[in-house]
Amino acid sequence: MKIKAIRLSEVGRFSEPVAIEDLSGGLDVLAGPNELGKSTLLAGVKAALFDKHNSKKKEIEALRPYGGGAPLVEVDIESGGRLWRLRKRFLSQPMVELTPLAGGPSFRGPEAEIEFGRILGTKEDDGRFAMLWLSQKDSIASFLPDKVDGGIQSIEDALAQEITSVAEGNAVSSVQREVRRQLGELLSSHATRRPIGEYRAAQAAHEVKRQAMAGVRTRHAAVTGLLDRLVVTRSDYERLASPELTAGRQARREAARSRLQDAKDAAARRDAAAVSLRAAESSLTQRRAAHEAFEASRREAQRLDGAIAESEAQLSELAGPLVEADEAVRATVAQIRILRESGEALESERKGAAAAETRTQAARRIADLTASWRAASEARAQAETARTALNATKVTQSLVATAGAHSREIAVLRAQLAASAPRIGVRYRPGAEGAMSIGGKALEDGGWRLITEPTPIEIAGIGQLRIEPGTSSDCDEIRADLEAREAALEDLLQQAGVGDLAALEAALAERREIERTLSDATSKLAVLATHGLERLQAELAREQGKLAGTPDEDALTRPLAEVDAELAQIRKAHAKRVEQLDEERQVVARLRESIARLSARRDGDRKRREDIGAGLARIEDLDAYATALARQAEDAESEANAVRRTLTAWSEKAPDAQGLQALEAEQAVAEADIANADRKLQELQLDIANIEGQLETARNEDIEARLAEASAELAAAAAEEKRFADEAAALTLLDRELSAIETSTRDRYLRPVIARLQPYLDVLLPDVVPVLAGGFGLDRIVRNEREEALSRLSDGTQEQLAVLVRLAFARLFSDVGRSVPVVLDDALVYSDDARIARMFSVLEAASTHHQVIVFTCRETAFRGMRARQLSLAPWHRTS
Amino acid sequence: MAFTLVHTADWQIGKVFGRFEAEKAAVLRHARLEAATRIADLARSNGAGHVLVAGDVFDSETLPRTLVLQALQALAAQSGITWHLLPGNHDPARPGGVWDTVAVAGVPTNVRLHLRPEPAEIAPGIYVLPAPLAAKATSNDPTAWMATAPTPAHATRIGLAHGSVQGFGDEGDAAVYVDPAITRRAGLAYLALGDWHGTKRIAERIWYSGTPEPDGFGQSDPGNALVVRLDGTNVDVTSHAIAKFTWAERRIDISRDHAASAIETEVNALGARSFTHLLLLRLEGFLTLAEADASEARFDQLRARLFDLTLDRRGLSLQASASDVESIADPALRSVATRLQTMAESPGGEGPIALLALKRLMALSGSGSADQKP
Repeated sequence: MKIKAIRLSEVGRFSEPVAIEDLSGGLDVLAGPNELGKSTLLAGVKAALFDKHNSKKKEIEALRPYGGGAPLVEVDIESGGRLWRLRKRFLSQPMVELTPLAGGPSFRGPEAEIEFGRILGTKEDDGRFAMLWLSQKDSIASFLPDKVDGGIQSIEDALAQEITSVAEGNAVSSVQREVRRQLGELLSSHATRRPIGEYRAAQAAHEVKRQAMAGVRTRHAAVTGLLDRLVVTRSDYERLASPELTAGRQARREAARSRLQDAKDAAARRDAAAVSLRAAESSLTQRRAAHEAFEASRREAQRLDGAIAESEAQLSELAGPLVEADEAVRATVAQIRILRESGEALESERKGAAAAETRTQAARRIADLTASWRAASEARAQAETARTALNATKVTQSLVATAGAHSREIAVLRAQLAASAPRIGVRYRPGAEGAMSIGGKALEDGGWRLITEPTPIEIAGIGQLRIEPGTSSDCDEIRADLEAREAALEDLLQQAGVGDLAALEAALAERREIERTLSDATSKLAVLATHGLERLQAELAREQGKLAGTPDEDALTRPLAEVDAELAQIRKAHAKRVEQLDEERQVVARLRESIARLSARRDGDRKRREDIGAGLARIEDLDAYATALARQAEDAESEANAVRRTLTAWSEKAPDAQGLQALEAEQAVAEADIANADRKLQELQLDIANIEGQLETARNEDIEARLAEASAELAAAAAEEKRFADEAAALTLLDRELSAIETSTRDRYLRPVIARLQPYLDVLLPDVVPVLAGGFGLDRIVRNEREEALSRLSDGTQEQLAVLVRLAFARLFSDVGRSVPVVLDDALVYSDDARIARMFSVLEAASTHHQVIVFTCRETAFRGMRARQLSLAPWHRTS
Repeated sequence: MAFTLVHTADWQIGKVFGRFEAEKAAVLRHARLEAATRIADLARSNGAGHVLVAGDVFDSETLPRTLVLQALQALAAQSGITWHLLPGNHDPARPGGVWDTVAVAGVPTNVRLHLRPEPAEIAPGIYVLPAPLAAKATSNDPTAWMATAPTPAHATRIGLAHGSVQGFGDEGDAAVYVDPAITRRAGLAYLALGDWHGTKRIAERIWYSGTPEPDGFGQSDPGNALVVRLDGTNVDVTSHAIAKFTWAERRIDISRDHAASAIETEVNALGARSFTHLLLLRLEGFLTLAEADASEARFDQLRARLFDLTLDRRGLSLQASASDVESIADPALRSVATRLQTMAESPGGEGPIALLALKRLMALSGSGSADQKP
């Protein structure tokens, strides 16, 4: 189909009827400014081609002019080599008329709609696909190739009809939509799909029933357990309460009690016997003591008589020695007194001798001090003399050293002068000896003489020979230095008061001798009077004073040593006597002590004897009395033996403390056994009542019925959940298989579209490979082996791709024998100049296969395209 | 001297039929209580004054007191009949058990409880030697004591026991074993046994009466009570149907056209009695999805005529046939159906799911009758 003319009246913004005539059927361009009404034109054509004349949908309503009216659209088309005119009026007095322009009857009303579909080669319902178009907003908002009624479905239907080999895609999509709807009622849409709705409810119900079943099972097991427990508990109770066991426990307790009582009785008898034994033994002890005491008294009386006599005899023996000892003491005391008096006399004599000795020693000390004082005085005088001499001499070591230096320098200078002076040798001819003289002194034969100064040599007989040494600056300097040195030496000698250097050195030697004398005198003084001569003199005076205070040496009778020797003898004799006196006095003391001790013992014995004698005196017959006491002791012993035998007998019967404790423990165990049994029986009774109570409750529950009911409900819930699970699995599987077949189908659908799109892309975007999605929209592109989402492409590229997709579809239709025009309504507004130029090439190429109508506001840009330029003109309606 | 008695067992009063819906379960539970009346009628009609119940009178030890009372009242109502009740492994005589409940409720005068292994003279010269169980299981033969049980000379000794006879039956390991030789050793005129729910003759004088009211499928000859006539050394045992409900089991190859029809014919022949029939149909063979839908409709009709119909489909194989797949017009959907068909026929866990998916696809494509929603 090709559109040859478009005419509008009372449509949208057009207040007056307008028309575009003489479309080429190839590439037609209507260029004009905005608000020209291009989109209104497109809307009118779409309404005429795709909407029934009596449609009142909003798009049709939108065609009505602002001032009201009935939109009228007239389109001339060429199809199958014939020209037709389709006229439709909408809204008010709607009508449709299809007129063959080559002549022939017109069609009106529904017939016209049917005939128009037939002309297009399609059925009425899905034959509306007659044109592809693209508006500016569509190009960016969507990549759907068209937006006819029913949207993509119409395209698919059209394709399905046109391409019979791929007609099955429609049914798959329909079934898959239903499958997904049903699946959506069972599973969530999350990545990990979870049960929802009835499936989730069935799952939850199953879980509830499972928990309920577990609870009932637990309860059932508990009830069964109660029965088992009751059997055991009753058995325990009956066994514990059996007469045999009860009688046994009581018999054990009675036996234990009896054994304990017997043991206690025996212990009491044993204890009583022990008390009796202690009394009998006490009596026996008393009897024996009385007998033994009597016999002891008698023996003691005899012993005391002997002892008293013995003491008297010993006292008599000690009286004589005591008198002798007293006498010896008195004699020794007299001797000691004599020796002490002699000693005192000698002590007095010794004091005189000691004083004389002291005086002699003081005189010797004074003599020594006097000699020292004199020598020290002499040394000090020598020192003073030496110091005076030293002060008088002007010769010093440095002065001598300086003079020596000058002297040695003078000798050197003189030698230097001599070395530079001429030397003359003297050789006389025989007989002429002494003929030559200098200063009147004849020159020796064979001798040599230095001439250091102008020297006249008198030659006898000849005259005078004057010789002058040569002059030079060195000699002058040496000579001047020599003179200075000699002058300095002379000054030094004068200071020293000596004539030459030898005298100066002699004066220096004398000074050193004086210094030695001074040193010796000073050293001597220091030794003799360390602290000075005055202190030495003072000490001498002190010693002399001491001597003046001592007695006269003539008063002494004997030497001190002699007196000391005699005094030592006297002292030794005195000490010996004193020692002897101590020994003698100890002898006296010991004798007196023995006498006192013997006297006391004798007196004590006498007193004891008197007491015993008084006691015994009261007994008439001592022997008979002793016999009676012995018999009483024997009787007491017999009685004690009898009691002891009794004690032994009960001790054997009565248990010890440990045994008694064991019997008490035995009885306690027997008592505890009974108490425990009673308590256990009570507990068992309680348990039995408790279990029976619980069993009664269980019976009322009808636990078996509950278990069966819960089991059945669980099975039903499980089956229900499984049914949903199976259904979900089946729907999932079906969805997967449908997706697989849908993908396969779509690929087959799209393959011819892609094949026709690619040549256009090669012109416009050579490096781009398109990827179409379901619904025939462009999904993404692949450029340089990288996929790019459409949203990331520029607006210009997006709109160009949108145009190309539509051209590809139109080419597809054209190739299967249906030429479909493509209308572009300002669809290329973002494209740059380079792209728009290439797009012109594409459009021109496409227009050789089908009509391309371009509405554009870019008048200048589209002027270069090889196309028929259209213009909007008034439509002069004829009817 | 001739003596006639009725031998029954395994009443299991109070049994719960949990896998049935509540109303049916209640009916089945009550039917076990009603059996006593029919047994009493049988006894009376055969001149028997004593009914020996060989164990498992009650189904469990913790039955509600009201249910026990109902049972005792049902027994008490049967005048002229003396009931001899023996504890079995379901209702062992142990403390706290159902027999305590019976004692508390009050034992009717025409009921004798045999809770201890001791001879009981039930008629002049007729002694019952009971072997009551005190636990659900025991390794001792409870009848062993009968060999030395003291009874007067020339007394007729009737053993009453509950357990499995070794070497017979196919009910697996039994909780209680009974040695049938005890009959000879103890000089028993008859040994009345309980435990097996089907009527079975072990020997001339040894019988299992079975349960008077069946309680499951697969039981061999249940629903009877035995009339036992003892006359000197002779014994005559006859079995009498007692049950109200019939539990039948059939195995059919559903892929054969006539199989289902035969069942329908059988049920139709029952007339009104079909409403006391429980039928377990074990389905075998192969069905296409379309056939499965059709057969389900037939079974629904059959189910309405029975007390209960249970279908065991474990032996049935559903298959998506070529016709199932071909019924889908759309070629793409048909190719999906073909893939699902292949999956369904492949071994592995996804087969049933694939079959289900195929059914769903057929429904959505308008070629099947499967439900639209799960």
